[in-house]
Amino acid sequence: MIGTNLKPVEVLLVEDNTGDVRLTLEAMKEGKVINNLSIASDGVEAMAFLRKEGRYKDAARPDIILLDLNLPKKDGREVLAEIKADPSLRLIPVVVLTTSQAEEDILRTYNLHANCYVTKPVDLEQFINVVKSINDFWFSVVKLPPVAQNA
Amino acid sequence: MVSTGDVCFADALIAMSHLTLPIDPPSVPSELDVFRGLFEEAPVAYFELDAEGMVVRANRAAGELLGHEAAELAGRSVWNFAVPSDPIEIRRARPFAQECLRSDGSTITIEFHPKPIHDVNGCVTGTRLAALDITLRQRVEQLVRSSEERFRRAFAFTVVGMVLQDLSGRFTLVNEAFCHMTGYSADELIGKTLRSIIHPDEIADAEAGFRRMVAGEASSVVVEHRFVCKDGSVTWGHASVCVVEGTDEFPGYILAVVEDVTAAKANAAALQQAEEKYRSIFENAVEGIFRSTPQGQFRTANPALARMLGYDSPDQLMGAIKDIGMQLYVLPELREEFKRLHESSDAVREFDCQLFRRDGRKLWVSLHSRAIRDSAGRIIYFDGAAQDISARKNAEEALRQSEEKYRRFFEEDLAGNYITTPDGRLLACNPTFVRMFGYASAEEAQGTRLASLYANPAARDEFVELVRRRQQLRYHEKELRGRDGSLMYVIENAIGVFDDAGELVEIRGYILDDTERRKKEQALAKQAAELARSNAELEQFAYVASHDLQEPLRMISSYTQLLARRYQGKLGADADDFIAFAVDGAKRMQQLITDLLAYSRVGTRGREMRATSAEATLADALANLRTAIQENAVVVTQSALPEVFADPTQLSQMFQNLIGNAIKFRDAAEPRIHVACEDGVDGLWHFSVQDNGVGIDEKYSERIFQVFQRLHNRKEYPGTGIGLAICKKIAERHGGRIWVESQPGHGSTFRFTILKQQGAQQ
Repeated sequence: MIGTNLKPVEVLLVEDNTGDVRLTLEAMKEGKVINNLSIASDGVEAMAFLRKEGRYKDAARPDIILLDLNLPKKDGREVLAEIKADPSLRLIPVVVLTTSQAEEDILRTYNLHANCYVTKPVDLEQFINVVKSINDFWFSVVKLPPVAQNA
Repeated sequence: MVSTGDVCFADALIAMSHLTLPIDPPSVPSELDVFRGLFEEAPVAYFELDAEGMVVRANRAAGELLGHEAAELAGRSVWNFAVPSDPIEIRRARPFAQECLRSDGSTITIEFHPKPIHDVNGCVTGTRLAALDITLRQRVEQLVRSSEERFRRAFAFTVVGMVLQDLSGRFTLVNEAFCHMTGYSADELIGKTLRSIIHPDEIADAEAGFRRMVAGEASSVVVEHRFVCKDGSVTWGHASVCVVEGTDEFPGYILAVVEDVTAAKANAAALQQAEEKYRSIFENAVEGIFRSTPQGQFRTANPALARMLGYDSPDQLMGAIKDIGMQLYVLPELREEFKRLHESSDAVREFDCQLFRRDGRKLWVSLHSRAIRDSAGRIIYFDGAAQDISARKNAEEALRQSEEKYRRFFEEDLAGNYITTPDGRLLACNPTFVRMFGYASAEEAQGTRLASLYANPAARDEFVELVRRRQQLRYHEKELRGRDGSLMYVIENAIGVFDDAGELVEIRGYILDDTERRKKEQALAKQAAELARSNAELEQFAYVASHDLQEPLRMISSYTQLLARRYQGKLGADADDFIAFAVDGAKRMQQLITDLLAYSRVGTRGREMRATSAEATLADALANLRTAIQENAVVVTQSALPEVFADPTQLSQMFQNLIGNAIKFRDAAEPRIHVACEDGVDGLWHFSVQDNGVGIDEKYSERIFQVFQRLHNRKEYPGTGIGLAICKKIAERHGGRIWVESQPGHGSTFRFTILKQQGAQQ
């Protein structure tokens, strides 16, 4: 399925914890998922990346955004709200990836039109499976909206 | 009174001598001689005088009369013997008395009865004189006259009424006093009888008495009769009546001496009446009346006194009491006091003392008495009256006790009691009030205006208005200020007192100083709030801590696992062990944090209570435990479960934890679990989860509900020891509790309760 579209999937990971960033990379490696992973370490940077501002003017438009909720400067909920409020961005699927299991967090993010909510597993094996699942689900199972040519 | 018999006889003789008076006696005893002899021998003295008054003849008796021989008298003037020898007109025919001198020198009173002698021509030729010696008679007459005069005077002038009656009962003589007594004049009375003046009622008696005297049955009587006076009034007469017996010559008569005793009678009647009145009062008085001696004995006592003191009669009382002070007085010295008081003043009033009754009971009496003294001024009696004032004394005592009781209530009351006028003048207050507001004394408190106790004087006006409108206030809370200005919280009951016109005249207030309690309450509320905040913070902390701990823990856990994954068997056996411990520790910590989070969420993240089917929540729990139940072949049974008011998630969690535990600590080859619920009379649902597992020693029955308390090591039974602590918290949040009934080897029954009614949620 991956081979049908040889163009690597562009993934934006918004995550301040470098441990998690590395872990995500390692999980992708372990899961044999071939993606272009861009990193934004806070909400402000994430929005700059998405809007191709500053040093991100050449940034690729991500096919999917993995968003942590607890971020410095501008937290994940705000980022989510801005993305979903922006017509040019709101079609990008956002997977909220967080350690929180709090129901209100889950409810709130869905209310902000998050496409998916995933709790980061403590177990490495599970984490690898989650990353693989996200990949499989969003790029094999789900039919994504066509990407605007000018993007 | 004067006997006239002799004179008549003389007259007869004279007449006879005149008829037969021959001057020359006949030679033969003639009839004339007989008369002459009679003349000569007559016992009456006779003188025959010639026209010039010379004695012609005198008889023998005449000579004897003058102490001379009869013959010697002839030729002499009879007036020669007269003393004084004045010539007497004898031509008159009336008798006259003349004192004469006898020959022996003595005087004699002679009564002469002259009779003229006429010649044939009718010329007076001489006088015959019959002479009687009336010396004795005259003397008697004088005596009689003198006596009679005295009698008359006495009769006339005595103040005592005197009456003479003849034997037929007619009044013959009455004196002035009697006339005065009866109002009649003597003329009106003379000739009347008793009938005319005796009171009709007494006429029969009076006449009977009179008859007895006339009949000689009594010579004198003393009687009392009423006389009807002329003006119709009645006069009492006390009469001593005697009969003066008559002779043949003198008829008898009745002499009555009558004394007017009307006044005395009236006095006596009044006296008797008064006596009767006082006797009656004495006998019938309600008060005890007595006469006692200073020595302590009764001389007199009336029935009331006897009755009062419990005796049958005054005699019994007087006989029994020999010493009033010692026997009757509860305090004998009071009797001495009673006596002392009389020394200084004759009358003593309202001397109150307690006496012993005959039966030993005590009696309060009030004595009014006066001292009776002898001529030397020594007290000989006390005359007095005793009034039974037990009822009054008892009432006074009851009143005093009642007053005392309520005064004590007032004074000892924990409430500050006061009475005030609507305008805030303090009329009275009790010591508690004084203390409460910090005054030095009641006087100081009463000198202030109540408005000064109010932080805002207008609040006092509002309070008065409220009392005026509602008449009374209960548990009225307000803020006042003590004398030093300190804020006081008080609770007050107040009653308005209204006059007839409905105007508020007085307010009576009962103030409880609630300051301390209120301060404590405030402190307690503050503490409770603090505790709640602290608990919330703690739970928040636990939540946040466990939440934020997840992040680094996940790093440790993930990277140790990555290490294990990539380098297992490449770094040596020791490295493999170390990595294994690190991975295990990280996992356990992960579990602890997860459980702690769950525990803290019972309080902080609990959902609202609502009507919940216990059946459904149990079904949810069993669904979650399906794998474990199936793997261990556990038989779960249940009774019908009610609909309850609960947080369904937590109730399900409760079942899940308890059933999970039962499975974990199963013992028998055929593990059985029974879930039941009973409707408790204590307003709680009583749930039970019974198993046939290993059981728990009783000594751990408390500890197992504490956080992270484990009874077994992790190799036997994995777990963090948070499950039952969560159950306890859930039960408590539902207004109930949880406990276990168990014995090792005999299974366990976990019981928990939850409140039936809503409103228990926090």
